[in-house]
Amino acid sequence: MPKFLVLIAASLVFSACAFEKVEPWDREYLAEDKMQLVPDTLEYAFDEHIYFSNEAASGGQSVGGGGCGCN
Amino acid sequence: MQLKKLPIRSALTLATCTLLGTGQSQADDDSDWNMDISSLYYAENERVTVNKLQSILSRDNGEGEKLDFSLVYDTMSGASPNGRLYTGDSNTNSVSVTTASGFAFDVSGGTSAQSGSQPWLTEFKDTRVALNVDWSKPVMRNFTTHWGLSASVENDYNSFGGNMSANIDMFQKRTTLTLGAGMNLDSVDPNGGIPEGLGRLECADSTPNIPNWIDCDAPVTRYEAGEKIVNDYLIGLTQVWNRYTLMQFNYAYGNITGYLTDPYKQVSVIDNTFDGEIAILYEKRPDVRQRQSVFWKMVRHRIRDVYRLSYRYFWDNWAVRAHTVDFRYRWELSPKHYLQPHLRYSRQTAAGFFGTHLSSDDELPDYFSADNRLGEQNTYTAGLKYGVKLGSNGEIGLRVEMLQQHYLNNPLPDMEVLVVQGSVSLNF
Repeated sequence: MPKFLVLIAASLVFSACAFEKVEPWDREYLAEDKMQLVPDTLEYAFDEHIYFSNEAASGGQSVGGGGCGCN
Repeated sequence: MQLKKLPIRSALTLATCTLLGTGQSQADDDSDWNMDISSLYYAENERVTVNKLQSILSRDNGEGEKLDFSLVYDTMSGASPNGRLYTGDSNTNSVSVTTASGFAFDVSGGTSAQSGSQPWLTEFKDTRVALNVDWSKPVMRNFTTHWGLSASVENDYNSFGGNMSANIDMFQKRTTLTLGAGMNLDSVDPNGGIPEGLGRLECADSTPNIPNWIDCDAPVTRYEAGEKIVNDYLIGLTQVWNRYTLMQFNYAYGNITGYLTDPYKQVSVIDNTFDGEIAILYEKRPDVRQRQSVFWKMVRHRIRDVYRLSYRYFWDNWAVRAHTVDFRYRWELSPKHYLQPHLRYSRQTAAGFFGTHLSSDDELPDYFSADNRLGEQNTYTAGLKYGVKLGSNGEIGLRVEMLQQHYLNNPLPDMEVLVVQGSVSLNF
């Protein structure tokens, strides 16, 4: 499973790795809602809560938010 | 401890929108108000069940200024591993336990799948209400600030916090630098008070070889409440990589001080010759934790579909190391319908003071915890989401996920979880 995921990750990264200087008028795809870093706030919040409750590692994407006694 | 939740809708969304040269209002289809409501059902196999309801009301004041109010209501019930050594369904020499916490507790020890006796589990029931307020405001053309306040209240746990971050756009908004800091003041106050770390919870009735570091006669010392301070810092860079790709790079540092022990977690003391549990102690963790992580995310547009891939490496001074990979692919079935498969894999090492039990032959360590969440483990997640757009008025979605947690060097059985989430987003 881990090796399989690494392979997927590597292929996806390399397929998108060409760096370009993108002008503002060339950002029509990037400006779509679904291209936001966090397109679904509640889905993100729920996932953070689930994994924070069950794992020792947490965070990395943002600061703040309320604590809980779940871990 | 810190529950990472978004001060986000504004912080990260705004980071993206400003990066792309679009306004926040444009991202929300020019609506002034937005309401997101979502319900989550979380069920572990024969353990914990959580029902969660959260809503976010957002007000766009124009020109990037935005105000969010978020309300969360959780109900939790069931049983979770308490740290005592898992013995399966076989006979074991187990002690009877009565805690002062008021939590229901299985006390018969020993066998009995028939009677449902599982001394390694503690039953509990709790509710949680949380409120977050977030405010984003551009102060200059390329400089946006974000402020957040949060409060979370449970029967035995309270958390109050604040955070702020700044997004600085550079190079015609191709690059955004994010600087953030947050602080939380948490307190845990279980019914009966906080027990002395590694204090004796109970001894077996017959005590053949009780080590001299366990005093079976004196009651354990208890304190009124435990408090901790959580400080988090983050520096991030979001980059327009090409016409179809965004990349994000973050480094986060957190410093937590105070009472970091879980007052409900226990430790079995095993006599090797007797081969049974002769006493139960309360766990004890260090009072300082410094955690760090590096995080990378890529969002890639494929003309129609979009996928997002992220990786986080986490490490702390408790010797926990964790690798986490997350992948979501938004597959556009039609202009209004989409499916989104989700895969996640996480692997973590154990904390330095973690063990499944103490031996009566050991010396008493400074710190010890048998909390399975601090042990070596792998977590696998697979899920699918179905979403329907409601024109420019919003979206509804349904998500089903399965999660499996496999423990290494720990006899605990795997945990399997079903997650079902329904959500509605409305613009008005």
